[in-house]
Amino acid sequence: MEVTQIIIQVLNSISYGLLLFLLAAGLSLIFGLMGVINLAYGSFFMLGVYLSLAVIEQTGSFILALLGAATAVSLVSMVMEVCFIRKIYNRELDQVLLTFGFAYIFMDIVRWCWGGTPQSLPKPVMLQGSISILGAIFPVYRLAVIFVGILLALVLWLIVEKTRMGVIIKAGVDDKEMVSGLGINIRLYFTLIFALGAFLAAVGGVLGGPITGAYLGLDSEILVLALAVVVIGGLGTLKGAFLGSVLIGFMETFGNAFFPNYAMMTIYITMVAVLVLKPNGLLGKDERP
Amino acid sequence: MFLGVTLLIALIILPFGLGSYGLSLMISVLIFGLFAMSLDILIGYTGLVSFNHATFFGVGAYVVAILFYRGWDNFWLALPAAVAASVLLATVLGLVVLRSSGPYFLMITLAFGQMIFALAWKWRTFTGGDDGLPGIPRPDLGFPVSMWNEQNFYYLVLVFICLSFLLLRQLFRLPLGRAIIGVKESESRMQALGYNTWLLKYLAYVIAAGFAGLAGVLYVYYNGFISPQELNWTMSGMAILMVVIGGTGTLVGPVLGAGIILILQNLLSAYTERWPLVIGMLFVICVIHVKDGIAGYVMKLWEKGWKGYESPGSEKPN
Amino acid sequence: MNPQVALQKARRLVDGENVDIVTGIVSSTVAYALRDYLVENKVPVIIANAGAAGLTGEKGSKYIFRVSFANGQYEYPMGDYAYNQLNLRRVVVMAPDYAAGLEKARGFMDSFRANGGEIIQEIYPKLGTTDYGPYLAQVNKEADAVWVHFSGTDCIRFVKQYADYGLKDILPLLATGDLVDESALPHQGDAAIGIVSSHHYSAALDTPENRKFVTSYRAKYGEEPNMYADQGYVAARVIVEALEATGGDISDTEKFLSAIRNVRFTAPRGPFKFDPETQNVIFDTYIQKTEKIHGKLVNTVIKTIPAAENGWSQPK
Repeated sequence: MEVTQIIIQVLNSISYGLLLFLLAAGLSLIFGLMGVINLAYGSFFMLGVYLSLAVIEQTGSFILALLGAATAVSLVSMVMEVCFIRKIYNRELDQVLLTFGFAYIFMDIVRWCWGGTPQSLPKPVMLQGSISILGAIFPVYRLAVIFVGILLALVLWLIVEKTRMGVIIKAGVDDKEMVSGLGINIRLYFTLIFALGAFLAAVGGVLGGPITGAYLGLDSEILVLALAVVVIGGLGTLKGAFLGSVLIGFMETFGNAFFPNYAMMTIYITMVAVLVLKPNGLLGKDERP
Repeated sequence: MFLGVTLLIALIILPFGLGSYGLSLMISVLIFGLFAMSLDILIGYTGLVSFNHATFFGVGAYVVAILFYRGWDNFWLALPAAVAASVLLATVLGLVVLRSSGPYFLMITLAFGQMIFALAWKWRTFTGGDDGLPGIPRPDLGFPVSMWNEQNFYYLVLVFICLSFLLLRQLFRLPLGRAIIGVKESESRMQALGYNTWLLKYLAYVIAAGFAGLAGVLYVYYNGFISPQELNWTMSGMAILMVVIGGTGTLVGPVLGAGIILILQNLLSAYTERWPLVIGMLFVICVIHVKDGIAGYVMKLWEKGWKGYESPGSEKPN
Repeated sequence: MNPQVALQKARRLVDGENVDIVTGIVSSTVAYALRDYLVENKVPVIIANAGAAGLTGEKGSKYIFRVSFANGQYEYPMGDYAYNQLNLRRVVVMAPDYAAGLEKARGFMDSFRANGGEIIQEIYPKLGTTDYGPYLAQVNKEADAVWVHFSGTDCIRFVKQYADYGLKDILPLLATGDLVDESALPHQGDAAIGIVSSHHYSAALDTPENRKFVTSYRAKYGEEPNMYADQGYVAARVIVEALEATGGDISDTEKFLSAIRNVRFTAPRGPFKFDPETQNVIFDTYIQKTEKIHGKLVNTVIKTIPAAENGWSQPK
């Protein structure tokens, strides 16, 4: 076991963990605040990857692709929330059926438009290549993911802690009735939260795309990962989602590197271990919102 | 009651009106129907959305297959052994998973389900790995009726699903079953009434696992193989959809749901490549326009028609 | 694909629509699941991809033919080539953790070891791994080369990440042709240059039959043909040739089966015939190198290993 190996694996863990945070933060908001089970969440991620692929092919710009794909996906999600989700708040099983239906629809639309051949999302030119860190070679792009992940976590933290919207979000997690009792249009906020969640999923998709690639089935893989992160961290807490992401990042990286035989199980073993010790996740509250 | 008898008669004469492909599809519908019915015990009666029900289905099937591979080819031995294995596993898992509730319960069951999926995938010498265990023959029941005949096998499955239905319906009329339903309606009230709600949920979890195992046994005998795919979460997810689309808390609804999903899946895919799109839209329409699942919808129509002839005070069909 | 769904569809085809021949079948799990049903119904099956060796071995049947490959069949010659031509002695092996991945890896390792080579590390990541970073960091740098098999969605990610983690510059990459599939090459980009692989088909094969195939395939689908295109073509051609041999008559199943068994022609991939005993295909194996020619990545064939020199044999 060499030092360089350890350095690389630690960097791997952090970049993978922050990638997980990018893709789970939105689900954490939707799940935690609205209490809506959104099984189409992975589809938002997948749509993000494919749409950005289309924009890059047209314009060649990664930034345009990021903004364009994320905006388009959040618009789609707003329509979905206003027309459908809104009708079934508090009906969890119908949410499962509805969002699963949407997952089917999005998956087939992607297959229709892009076909079944796996594609890859090119990295931005300035982030290609690798650099040497104390003799260990590490891809530049992953360092960028670490940077953006921390930045986004900070921005989200500021929104939740320092803005009016954040105050309402936190109050909403604790007590929905109280918030609407104060005369705040909670419906509007719900739509905004849902769209913000979708926006984050699409951003995660575009940033993660150069690592994951674009293929059918990406949606369900991401969904399971995101659900795992959110549940391990505890519902409705961004801090929890952050902790959960980093924990899974380390567990998966070191688990796969040193116990590759158990690679299929590491994430589930982690989940069981956490939930056995803390039945409501690391930072979850005792009662559901 | 009348509705039930009509349905049963229809199911009994059905094979005579179906071609061999239609019959094979119906057998699958009934097997998956039994599987979905067993999940309804949890979703519809106990209020537990479990995401590893396929585990018990798969374990039942694997026990039959593994016994066969080791030379134990006896239906009357394999059936109870398989059901017992599913039940045993549930008694162990139940101790852990029932500590969590709501979405946490959903995810911890998913986690266990995937761990057992991985086990079936990796433990090659025992389970055949991802290639699965093919070549399981139809059972010999010990009397001169060949199960290789599709019609006979259909009736075998029909007998099992009817028996299971009657047993479960009876269960939910007994005080124990009533108490389980009470937990779904309000766990805190049941606790206040002095019930051990944990134990009630635990019992429901174990019972549901047993019936899922039974469905797995019929599945492996019918299809002749079992692979880790049958233990995967996609299978559990499909069962949840069957229950929800058919109507929760009805036992019959999930069988209808299984029929709808399997028949659509097979018919649509024969006519259009865009079948996932169509199924997806159907789910959406179903949620927005058909509340309480298909069974609830049919029940309402039935009641409307029934009330036209009967006095308004007549008992609701159950 | 879920084997149960596949079986249901096979029942529709055979029971519902009375089809006489079944072909296709990509996954070995599906092939095993369908096997008994199709054999009991005496339906000739032309497997066009599923690779589990057992399908034409212990689970073989006179009704089952395979025009694609058995796992290990085109991996085996690479062991000889790596030891004798490339003079490699110590190799790290990587493949996804499922039956086909392990079986293919075994094909390479058996022949490499038989020559006296040493496998110094075996790494089996789970199928569909998103992030190969953790595995790549563990690769033993004292090796002479790395041999891998990845296919489908895995191969783009793997090739790019192999370059990202700096391994491309220090350890030559040997692979199955699946890794550098023609459909993946444009997405893998320059990271794929220099990979040496063994396969039963390359779009860059310079034969009249293949040139014609590539031209008409491009005209029709607007992309390069790959192994799956060739396998699909060969499966259809085998059926046509067998039907022509019997004058379109399939009423005598034995006669039809024997007509299939005797089909021989020159396919895009080269000479095609079945092993009469196992009914598995016999083909020439190509050692190919991924190169950039006129700005386009291609798998140039650098050596042809005739079927007769392939030491691989059907496991009994």
